[in-house]
Amino acid sequence: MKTMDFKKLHSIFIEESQERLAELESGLLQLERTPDDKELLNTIFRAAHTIKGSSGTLGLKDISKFTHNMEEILDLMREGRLSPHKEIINTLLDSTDLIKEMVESVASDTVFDFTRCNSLVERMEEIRAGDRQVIPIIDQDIKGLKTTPASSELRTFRIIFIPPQDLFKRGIDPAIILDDLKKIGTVANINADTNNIPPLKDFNPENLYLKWDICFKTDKDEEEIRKVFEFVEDGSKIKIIPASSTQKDMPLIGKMLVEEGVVSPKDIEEALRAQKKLGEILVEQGKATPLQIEKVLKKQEGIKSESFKSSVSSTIRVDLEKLDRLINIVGEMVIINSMFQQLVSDKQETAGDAKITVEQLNAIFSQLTRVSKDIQENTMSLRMLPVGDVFRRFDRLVRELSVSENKKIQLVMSGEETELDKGVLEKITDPLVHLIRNSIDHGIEAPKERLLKGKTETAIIHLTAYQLGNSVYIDVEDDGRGLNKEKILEKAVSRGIINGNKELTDEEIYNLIFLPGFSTADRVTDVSGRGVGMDVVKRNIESLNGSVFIRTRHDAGTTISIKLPLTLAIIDGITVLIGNETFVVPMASVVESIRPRKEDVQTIAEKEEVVNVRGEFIPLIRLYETMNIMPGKKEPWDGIVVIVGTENGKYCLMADEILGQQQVVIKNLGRAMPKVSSVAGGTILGNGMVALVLDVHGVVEKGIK
Amino acid sequence: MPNECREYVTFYLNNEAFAAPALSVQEIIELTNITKVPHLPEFIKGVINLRGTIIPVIDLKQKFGMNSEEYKAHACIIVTEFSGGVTGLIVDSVSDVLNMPQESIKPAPSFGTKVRADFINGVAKVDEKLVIVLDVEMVLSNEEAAIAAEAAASSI
Repeated sequence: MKTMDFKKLHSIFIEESQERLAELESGLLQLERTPDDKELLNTIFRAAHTIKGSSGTLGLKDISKFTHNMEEILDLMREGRLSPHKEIINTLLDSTDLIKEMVESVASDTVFDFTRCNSLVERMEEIRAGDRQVIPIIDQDIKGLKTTPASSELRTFRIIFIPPQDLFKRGIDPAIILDDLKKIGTVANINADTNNIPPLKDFNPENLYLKWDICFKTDKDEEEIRKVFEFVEDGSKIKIIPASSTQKDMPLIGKMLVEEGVVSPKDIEEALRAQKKLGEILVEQGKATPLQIEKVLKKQEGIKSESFKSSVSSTIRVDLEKLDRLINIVGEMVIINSMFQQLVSDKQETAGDAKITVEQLNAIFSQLTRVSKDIQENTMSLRMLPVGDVFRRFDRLVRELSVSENKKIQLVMSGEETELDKGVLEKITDPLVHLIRNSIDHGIEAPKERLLKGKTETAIIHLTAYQLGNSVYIDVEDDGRGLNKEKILEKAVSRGIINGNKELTDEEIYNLIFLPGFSTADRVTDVSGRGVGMDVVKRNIESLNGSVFIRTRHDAGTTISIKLPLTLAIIDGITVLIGNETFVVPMASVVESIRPRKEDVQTIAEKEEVVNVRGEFIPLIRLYETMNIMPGKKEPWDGIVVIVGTENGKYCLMADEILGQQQVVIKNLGRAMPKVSSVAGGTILGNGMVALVLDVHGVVEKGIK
Repeated sequence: MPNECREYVTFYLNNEAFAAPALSVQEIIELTNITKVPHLPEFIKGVINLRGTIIPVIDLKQKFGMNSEEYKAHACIIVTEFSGGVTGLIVDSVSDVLNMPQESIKPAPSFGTKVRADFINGVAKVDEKLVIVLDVEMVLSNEEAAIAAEAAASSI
């Protein structure tokens, strides 16, 4: 029963731990570079401590025990008795990985094999034992200095803060007190009690009606906490209750009764013992057999773990500022709503013949337009996450690869704050891993070779993100040897990918590396060289409507640039009319649009049609044929052709006329709709009709057949 | 449970009465403009805009192989939700929402209707008229198999 009760808390634990683990990892990596950063060390320690604490509270004793080892080492570092050299960092990073796996096994409800910890625990114990041989540099008991009590361990306090109603009038902002509190510890949880807020007619905006219930973690004692509240002590009720172990296991109601002083902890415990489980009572009354109860309990557990899984995978953390902004805008909309209501009721009160004028409506309407645009933009932005979240994990990748490849590499990141849609962000992680691995394996030379070339021993990989217009660019730039044109050509010919006689431009040669089955690595390493990388990278990015470019110079380095749409949902498009139907052609693939002369349209072998565009012969696809529509214009010289560029070359798509260019929100055609290759989705036009968005690749495939 | 009653939405296709479980019906809307989607079987009429969401609509008469001519004034779209998603069904007219006891639904006779037997849950007698009770889940999830068959037929 007990483990089941914890299940609810597990999802919170997992999310929190994952964040703490990320903090731990990036912190440790940073610590290696700046070993003297005390504040950083504290942050790392706190992260480890939080994991230890919360796993312990949830009964995940093994995780807690394991993390405790890490904490000990970190503590020794804080005391200056250990310095964070590479060996220790390695051990701690490996431990972080293992905790990550433990947390994942909690998430997937599988059993983690804790014997796997043993070797790491040994390593950590060795590190701690190593410390004992070192003479402590800092004398712990320097007289006259106040030492922090009880091994400076973090303790949890529950603080109940009921300020007087006239706090504002005294010129005190409770937010400042909370900020002060944060300086001496961490606020694990805070609840504002809004029960005292009176009905609006009695509400005095100058009064403070809130009280707070704060769960606070600190290494300071009660006295220190009380100091924070020094200025408001008059008239306020402040309770600072250290969280004790007996209270942790108590149900909430019991806890609260104890805190209010109604009963003692002992009373609660006795009451709990007297209380029986529902199942037991039912069995006693003969309403159910123990077997039946057990069966249902098992089922319940199944349901819980199921529902829990789905809740973990689909959440997103949203910047509070963004939410506040959205709530503000929604508030504005409510105002517009009441303005409208007012307008209507005013007219009803005055004689019935008074009409609402267009001007009045327009005034409200223009506000509504602005607000709905704001709401749209802000809601979209909720899905946006900074790319830094993904970038940070590459720190670790580069560090590890540089060790295994015996190369010296520094990863420099910029533009981490650039935001991308969550869906896009998730899908570019793997391609980026590939690109960085490729850079390290193929691009960057061994240190000796670099010195011979007159380069610095340490290679630099720049990972840059920036926004340009409606696209986000992510560049992976190395200062390695650059792509080798001859080698690529040689390989492509020997693999039969291209015909040796054909003349290729440099760009075409470089793009060969994106073809399936292509790899220039002479030997297969565990990093790359299996030739499955770059084509997958290209495909993944293209599936996001993005594209990849290569810039490279011999011995100067290679830059691979990924261009991604800002969001998946909104695209620029050209709306065209065919018969009575409107279609949207994604702007990304449009080159130009022309109306050809009759003599420019020619037939090849009486079948395929081409259009002569300034001497270039481009295949013609009549959209009304491919899409089975009665056209308004039957011939291209009466209608218009939109020239689109695909990876297989240019094509002319013929339509009746171009209606315009606009941003459209792409929607899918409903889950129940079978997939049609020539249609990427639909969008809703101003008149409420649905227009189909063409999938240019699909249209070309269908049209050429 | 012998006397359990369930609600059914009854509607007409040509002159035959049909019923679909009300639980699977989300709403009933007027026939609106339908945007055709190419390369699909005839009975999938296209997509419509349902308050900002795009959903596919199918012509139930064509789906069942019945005569389907111009839609008349009473024609409407029953928006149903089944495991595959939300789909609109075009019907000639919606008549009623009925509470039918489960035992009044009898197994369908093996003749007398063009509708395939596995789409039918049974028949019920309402006011001396026969109502065919549909298994909406079967009718709609059968879609993909039908499309695959159609595609195979057209490519020959």
